Amino acid sequence: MPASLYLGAQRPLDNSNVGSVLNLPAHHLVTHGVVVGMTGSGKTGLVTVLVEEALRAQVPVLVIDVKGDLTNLLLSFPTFDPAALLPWVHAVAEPTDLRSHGEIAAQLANERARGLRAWGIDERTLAAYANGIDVRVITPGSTAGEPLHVLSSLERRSERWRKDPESARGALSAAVSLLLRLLGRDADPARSKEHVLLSVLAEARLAAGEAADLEALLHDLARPPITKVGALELDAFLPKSERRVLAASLNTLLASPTFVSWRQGATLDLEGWLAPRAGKTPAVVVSVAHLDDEERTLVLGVLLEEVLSWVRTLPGTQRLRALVVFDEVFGFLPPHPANPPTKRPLVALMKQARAFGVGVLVATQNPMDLDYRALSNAGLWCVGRLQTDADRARVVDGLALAGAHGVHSSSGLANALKLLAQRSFLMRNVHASDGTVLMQPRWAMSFLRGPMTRTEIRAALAARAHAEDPPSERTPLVAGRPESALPGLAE
Amino acid sequence: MEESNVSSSSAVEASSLAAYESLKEEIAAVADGDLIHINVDIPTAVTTVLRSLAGLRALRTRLLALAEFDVEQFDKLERYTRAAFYANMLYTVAARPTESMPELTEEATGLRDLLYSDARALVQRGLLNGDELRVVKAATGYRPLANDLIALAAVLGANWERVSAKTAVLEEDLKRAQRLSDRILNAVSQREQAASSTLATATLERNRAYTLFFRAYDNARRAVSYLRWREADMEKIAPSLFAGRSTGRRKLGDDVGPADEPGFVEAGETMSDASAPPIAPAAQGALPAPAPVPVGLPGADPFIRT
Repeated sequence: MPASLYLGAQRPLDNSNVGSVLNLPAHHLVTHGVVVGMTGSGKTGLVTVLVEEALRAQVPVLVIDVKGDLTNLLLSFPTFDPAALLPWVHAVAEPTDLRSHGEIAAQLANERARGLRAWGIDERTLAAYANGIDVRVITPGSTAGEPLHVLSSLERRSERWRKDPESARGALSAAVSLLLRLLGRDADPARSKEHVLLSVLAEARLAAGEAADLEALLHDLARPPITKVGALELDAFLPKSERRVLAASLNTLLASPTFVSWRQGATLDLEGWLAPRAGKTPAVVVSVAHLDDEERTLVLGVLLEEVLSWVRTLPGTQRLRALVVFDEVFGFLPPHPANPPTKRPLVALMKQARAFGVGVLVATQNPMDLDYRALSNAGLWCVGRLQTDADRARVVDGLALAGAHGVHSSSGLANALKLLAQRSFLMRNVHASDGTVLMQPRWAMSFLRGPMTRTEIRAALAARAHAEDPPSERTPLVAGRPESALPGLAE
Repeated sequence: MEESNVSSSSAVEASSLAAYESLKEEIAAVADGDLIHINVDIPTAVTTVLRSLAGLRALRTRLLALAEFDVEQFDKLERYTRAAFYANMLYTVAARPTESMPELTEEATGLRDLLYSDARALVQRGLLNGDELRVVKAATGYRPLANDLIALAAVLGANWERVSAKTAVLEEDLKRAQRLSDRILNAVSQREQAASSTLATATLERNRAYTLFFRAYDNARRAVSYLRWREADMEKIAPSLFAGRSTGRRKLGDDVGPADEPGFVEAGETMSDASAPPIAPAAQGALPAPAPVPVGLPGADPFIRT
């Protein structure tokens, strides 16, 4: 029986019937999903539920976390015990709340228990979930989580140059852009001569099966193994004096203590990241909340090129093999003519990953900023409250692209969007026959503390590392709806 | 029960403030787990209840005879009503944006794009140094947008003598860029301050005050429903706060109370008394609405009711 994701409840768009349990077949996500909604619409909660359900269905998840909200996956406690929430009370308590942290934790735990039980999730289910997942948080350029060797596709040898040179070249280009950005130089692959030269030098080494570490590139800049770049002599393309300046800045960067964190830690190895560890389903959160806008774009460009390369190595399947989640995709998948390094691999993933069983889920509060090609490739739409008429119009257009209107008129959808309450969404699944429906996500099992700082990530990882797994709670993970129907909901 | 007095808006405000102040402790004591989701327009609901007070008071003596009837809560209905009105007013003030961010952003983004494209054209013609434009990131977010406007105004302003005759940009555009930038930064700062404290507090206070108000009126309606069962005029005496909703919702039974809800029993009577009216719904629209389901729980209203 195919795995299904227990997302909450649904009811018809005209609100003319009682709700029913919403179980989304997991393989429906291979045609990708889009979640849109303004701040406060419950978008992050819904994305968290989708991730949790994918993990319950033993589908590995890669989460790209721009704002820092999805590191909350670390806060998946196996019980309703208030003690688990105590360390996080300071972050959610109102400044005017004069109660002790213990009292606030007790109230939060009580609310959490009430909310989850109302959705049919008890401590046993919580424990099974918490003990069945392996959450890693990767923080490029920082040691708060696991650091990431973001230049690994540049500096380390890869079989990909033999098997799939096109994707290897894409990954290399992204890594060189990041390197030049760190040097404070022009990082545009189409414009920067330095980018072209470094790429040519690195590719010559990598294609020959060698590593192209920065020390080797410094050597090649000083004593170039090539005489021509394109049709031009090397000196005409980039004079020796400019190559020397580039080499000098590269050397300074190499010697900089702050640069060390960019070159240590986990290798960009998607296959390894998403393989189950000790029987647990992996959730890998790449958090870039601490980086500035340009660094985020470049780091995520490198990461997504790697994801694309990995996807292309997979055998075809129709089941959901892995889920890539990009929360707050605003600015990373913009419409034409903007073209950040993240756009090409994201559009390619949304076009091609389906055949390999990899679903992509993007979430944003600004639908105006999404490339229409990506929108038209999404089979699942969850639309929450939106702020402006323009946003609503864009979403209705997007639903039209996805063939989602069905029996509902554009104006009907726009009106429904205007009136949506918090934590309510319009949902359109192209695989379902019931058109656009109203959706209410279930309560998330993770404690939604909000964006986590680097210090908090460190603390949460440490707490998780020291947590004992209660052996009696190790029940097998079974995805899908709970055993009994929910109160107030029809089967 | 207290006398109602709806005369002028200032009098309404004063009496509402007094009611709110007198109930502050009770409002603060409402547990978060007991909060009722607000799905009515509070000023409209308040008007409905204030208008029904005279009719309700006329039944007070008979209501007293109902076992388990909370007369203290009934007597405080007017104060609960006015306090809810005042808490809603505080919330409205706290939630009111100082600037309309979407409109401001739209105007600022348009101006940034215009200035940037003109500046790029000037760079192409060698009239501006392209390096100076690198600080313009066209990145997302309010602050980057404000910073871009300042940067563009500064770059063009510094070279104004050289470029003014070669571009369609007006000096007024540069001033407007600076003004818009200031407004965005001000609005963002105010919003951040308000969002973290005042608005959150006002939202919670409103919800607590509404919960007390809703409970008191709901109980009064249930009692009246029992007393006036045969006359079937409960909707005239104490109209539903949800009256006027679409028939589609009523059809669902949303305005019908749960059948197993305990009713009020007059002193000396028992439920087995053959003359006693049934508590279960009998006439459509004649019974009070059930307590709304809190947001986030199964069955919560998917739409905002205004």
